[in-house]
Amino acid sequence: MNFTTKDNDPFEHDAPQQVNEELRTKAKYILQMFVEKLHDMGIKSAVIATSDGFDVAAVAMSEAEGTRLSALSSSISAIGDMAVKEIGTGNYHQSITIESESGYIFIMDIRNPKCPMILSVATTKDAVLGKLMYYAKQMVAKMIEV
Amino acid sequence: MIEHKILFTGTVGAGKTTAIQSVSEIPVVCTDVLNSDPSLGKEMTTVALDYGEVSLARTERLRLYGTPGQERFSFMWKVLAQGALGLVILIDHTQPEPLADLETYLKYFRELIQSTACVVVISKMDESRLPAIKDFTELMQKHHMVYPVVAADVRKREQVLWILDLLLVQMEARL
Ligand SMILES: Nc1nc2c(ncn2[C@@H]2O[C@H](COP(=O)(O)OP(=O)(O)OP(=O)(O)O)[C@@H](O)[C@H]2O)c(=O)[nH]1
Ligand SMILES: [Mg+2]
Repeated sequence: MNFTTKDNDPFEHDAPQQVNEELRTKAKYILQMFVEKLHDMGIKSAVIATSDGFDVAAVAMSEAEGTRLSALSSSISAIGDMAVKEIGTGNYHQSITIESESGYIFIMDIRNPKCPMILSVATTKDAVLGKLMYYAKQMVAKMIEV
Repeated sequence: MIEHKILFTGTVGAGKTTAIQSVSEIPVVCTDVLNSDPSLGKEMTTVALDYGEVSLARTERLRLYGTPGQERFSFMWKVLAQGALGLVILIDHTQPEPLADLETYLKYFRELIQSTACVVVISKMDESRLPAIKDFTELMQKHHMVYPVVAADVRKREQVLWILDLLLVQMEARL
């Protein structure tokens, strides 16, 4: 078994690309729509980060929180991929959910070939998680295209 | 089988992932992703941890953990430091302020350093010459820390084994 993403994953080999303003603006818009539309279903806040943990867009959280959750989600996502490979159930996680006393956080990868990103969504405890994740997947599909 | 947990930390690009890959006897568990910060000057960067293993004698195995170098991942530093019996601090000598960099890690890992073994490794000295090793040693003394400071090329297996040896000697002296 080999978990090294360096050698066997063509996806990871695209030329590094800095996050540009255009991407930021689009991401911010898409994320804002997502959070507003689903607010009644229990979404509290959301952030999109690069796969190496820089924030691209955050909604309903302070800049400091956005920065912090971006770095955290990057680590969690990478550990999720590692677990999937280790157990042999695939190469990439499709989502990671963290349940706590007062809510959930779920994390999804946005496998955009130009700029791989991660979506993190924080919800209330009574959130309709299945529905939210369904809509989140649609948004992720949109973000893969931008 | 005696197992020890060793932690590799230090600046971005100093060679933590490289060092573990150089000596590990198992495929290295590596969480490197595409780096989007052009100032780091490399394609991939660690965002969670590296993990490898090396056995030194038939009865002794080292579990090698590497931290991310970027400071915004410092929450991982804390997690990974738990239970470590030895610390390797790698400093990239080609960066503008290698002495200040060392100071950052000495401060952050102070407690761990004082309760365990530690080796400071200056990497990429082939590419730049000053400050000298003795400047790093003096900085350590200023912080009342007496640990070996060595220059090494962590791309070479023997040199990483030598670093681990410097740790083990200290660990044995403590027993
Ligand atoms: N010239 C030179 N290059 C070196 C030396 N040691 C390591 N390198 C190179 O430096 C780079 C180190 O990269 P990594 O191993 O990813 O560094 P890292 O410390 O894990 O970095 P992060 O995970 O991003 O914090 C590699 O490209 C190595 O080949 C050295 O002594 N001399
Ligand atoms: Mg690394």
